[in-house]
Amino acid sequence: MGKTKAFFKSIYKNVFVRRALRSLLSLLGLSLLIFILARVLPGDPIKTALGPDIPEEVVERYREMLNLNKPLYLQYFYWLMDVFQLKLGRSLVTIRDVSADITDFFPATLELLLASAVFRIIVAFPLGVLSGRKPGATMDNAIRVLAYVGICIPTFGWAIILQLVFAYWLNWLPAIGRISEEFMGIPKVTGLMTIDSLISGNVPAFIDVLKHLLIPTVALSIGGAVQEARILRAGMIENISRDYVLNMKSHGIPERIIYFKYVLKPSIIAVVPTMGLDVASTVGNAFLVESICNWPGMSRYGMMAMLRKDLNAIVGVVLVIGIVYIVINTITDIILYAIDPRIRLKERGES
Amino acid sequence: MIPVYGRFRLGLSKLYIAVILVVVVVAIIAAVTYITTPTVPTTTPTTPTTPVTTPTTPTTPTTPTTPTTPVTTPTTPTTPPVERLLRFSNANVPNLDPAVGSDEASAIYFINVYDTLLYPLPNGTLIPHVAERWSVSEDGLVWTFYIRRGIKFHYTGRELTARDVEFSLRRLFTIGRGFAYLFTPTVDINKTKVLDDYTIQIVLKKPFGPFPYILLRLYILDSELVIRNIKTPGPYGELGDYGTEWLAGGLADAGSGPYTLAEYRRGESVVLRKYAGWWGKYAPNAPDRVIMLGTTEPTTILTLMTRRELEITDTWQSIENYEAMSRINGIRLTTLPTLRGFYFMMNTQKPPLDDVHVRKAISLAFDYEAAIEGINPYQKRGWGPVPSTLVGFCQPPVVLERNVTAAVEELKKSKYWGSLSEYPIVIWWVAEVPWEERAALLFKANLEEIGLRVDVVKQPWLSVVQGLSTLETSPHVVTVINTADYMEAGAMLMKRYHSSAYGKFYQNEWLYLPELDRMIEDAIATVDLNSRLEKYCEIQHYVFNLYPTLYVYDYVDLRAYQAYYVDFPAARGEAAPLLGYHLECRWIQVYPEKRAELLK
Repeated sequence: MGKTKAFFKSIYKNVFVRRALRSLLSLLGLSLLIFILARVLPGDPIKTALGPDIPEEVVERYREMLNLNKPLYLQYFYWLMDVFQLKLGRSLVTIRDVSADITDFFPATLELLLASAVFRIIVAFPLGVLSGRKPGATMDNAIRVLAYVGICIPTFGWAIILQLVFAYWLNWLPAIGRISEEFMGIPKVTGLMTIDSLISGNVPAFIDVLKHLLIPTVALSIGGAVQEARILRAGMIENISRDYVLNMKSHGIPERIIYFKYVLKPSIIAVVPTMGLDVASTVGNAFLVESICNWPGMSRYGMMAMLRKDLNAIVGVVLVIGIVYIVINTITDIILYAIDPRIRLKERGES
Repeated sequence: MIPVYGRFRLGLSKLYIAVILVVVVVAIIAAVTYITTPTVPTTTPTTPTTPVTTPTTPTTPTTPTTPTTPVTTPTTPTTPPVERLLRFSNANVPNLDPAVGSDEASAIYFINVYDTLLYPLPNGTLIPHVAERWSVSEDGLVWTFYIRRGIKFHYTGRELTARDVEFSLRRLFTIGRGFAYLFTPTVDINKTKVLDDYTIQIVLKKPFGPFPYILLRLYILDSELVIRNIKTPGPYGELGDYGTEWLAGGLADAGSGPYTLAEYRRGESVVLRKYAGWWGKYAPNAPDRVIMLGTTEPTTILTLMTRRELEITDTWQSIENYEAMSRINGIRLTTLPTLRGFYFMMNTQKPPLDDVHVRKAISLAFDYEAAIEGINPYQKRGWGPVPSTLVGFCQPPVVLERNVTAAVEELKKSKYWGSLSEYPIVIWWVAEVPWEERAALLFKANLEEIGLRVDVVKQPWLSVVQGLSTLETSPHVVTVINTADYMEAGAMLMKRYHSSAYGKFYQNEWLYLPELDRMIEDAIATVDLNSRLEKYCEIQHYVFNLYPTLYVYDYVDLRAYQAYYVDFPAARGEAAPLLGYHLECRWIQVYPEKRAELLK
């Protein structure tokens, strides 16, 4: 008995196990909250989803099917039982299990999310470094203006601007969808078109997918990327004036090494959590961009579910968004754990 | 210093090496798979179609004859035929189950993929389709349909029989969604029976003259295919889920119509392919492939139209966007008649609107021309209780025109004259339809000219629905766009003025006239068409003289289309105004070579 207890205690001491348990608890709380919220909103969900002409007996049948005629705690209990069987309940609109719908829609959003993360890294880091190395210089001012523009225009505004410029006027990029008609036949393996096109060895399709990804990715990420560049800039400026940098300079260590290895690393620490949260928010906030680009993603599905009061779909989508946040937060923590010795030492100290 | 520097360099180097390794592995995998794949997949092969010819006027739909197969001769032996592709947009991607969907996109999909017993001509006349003839008993209760032989389903190749019709009707009844609301009050499903493979008898609960019209919403499914794909357990007892999940999955359709489901891109589009084995007629240059897009984003639509990647737009664009598109070379804007009307519904139980003189005065004070010219320049004037597109529409006894003097005179006859300022009229407009605000403000301006006080209130749609559910919570006036469910005047009269519609969003008049109820019930129970039309006319005059409604528009849908390379019969009025029939693809003609000219 003592050994078992000690075993579990040792597992619990592991920082990642602790984090996973906390995440599970957060998810449970989130599911309960959204489950109740979706059900207490005014208006009959069945009639809202199915229209006012629906016969009363059909309304009753759906009420029974969704357990809506049972007390709220029982409804939640039944739903939770379904979740343990990897089911999220039947959607009123698509007549399928919400998990099947999400399985169909999620890869498109995930692809956008990953592309968005890559874009942010590619844009935010060079801009932040360029800007932070020589504060007040022409480059810094130009980047600052760009940052303000990027932040001020909302994501859907960027989507419209980019579509008008690159699809409507210049005709360089496709306006909608994930892939062109001629490549529609590529076999679906992961649901991520970039990966699937590579798996099928179809390089032209891969390039086509990248072209399709450009407008929604840039639209979704540009605001965040420039914001993160600003944070990085601020971090760089702060760290440049520290004693250890002065010390290194006095020892004749090349400036390039000082900036890229000793100033950049601590400056990144502030950027990583912001970037993580921004990337995660893509899942929930992308519905307008997905609509403009006719991108078959989960965000748009979630939006439609809200408008039609599709109860199970709402809960399912929010739950998935919650999971994405938790996963990305965990990844962010791991990165921070790796690059920030203070966190490592603190965690070790705790355990 | 140096050891610290060295340790740090080691840490970053590991990261670099890891990233480089991942990149190299991905590149190798990509390269290997690319090299080992013999050919790059290209466009899915399509059936060769009729050689390109000069544009011809589409054939007017007639009684379908013997099964025909699309001509498959290529233009020349060496040149592959150019695919005729038609793309149009809608508010959403259709629901693929005929027992579930009832929105416009779904209706378009059903009409193209499934067959129906009857078929509507543009003037509303019904002609045989799957049913080659039909008869009705003297009491109007028993309708017998004789099924055409040789109709084959897309996926099984099985012949369509009366059993499939019965199965489709029963399934619609059981699931109770989609267009089921048209059938459930009327059809006695338990007495409906299959007499033989080619004869079905549908029995009604009560006589219902326009019954053939609602059959346009009974889409016939391949019963065996659906039964094979039933998933158990499900909400329908022994019938499991009745095949709903399989149909919604979009792997196949269960129809026998002119087009078949080629691909379902969930949340994005639906692709249809011409069905070579269909029994009916196509226009000579009908599309080989059709893509139904589920987007209405203005910049997206404008971009696609400009790039000639969309042939026909949806009906949800702003006037400005339609006009911008119509200025592009080869694109034309068209108005398509519908079964809808835009009305100001007046609550006849609320003072001062409980006085017919006040209602008549309002009808005379309203500026109908300004409502068109100043708000929706493409809309058509509304004339009376039903849209003029409906079979049985009757000219009103008088044409209402704005006449402020006559309106004031009429107001003087009311019992509220002298105390009208004590009775402010509250008008709700639907927040989701922005132009309705201008209509409501016009109403306010016009009424204030004759001394009535008006309060304009913006209401979200769900609040409107909620408010209209009881007399007490209903306002004085509500703006609404109403649709007739089938192509006869009875549909609109029943929906708008019969007491069974009280509490629904599509009426706010609350007339409480048992006599009017009886008249409507009697009219729709009349089987003889001419007598029924006479009765409709009488009811329309009766309602008109009560002045319960401002008939503002006979609503038309706007669509922009590529007139240079698409022949769109609906734009010439050669399509039934019933929801979905404007985009019956077999009559639309596409000329890819003309499109190529535009793209040069």
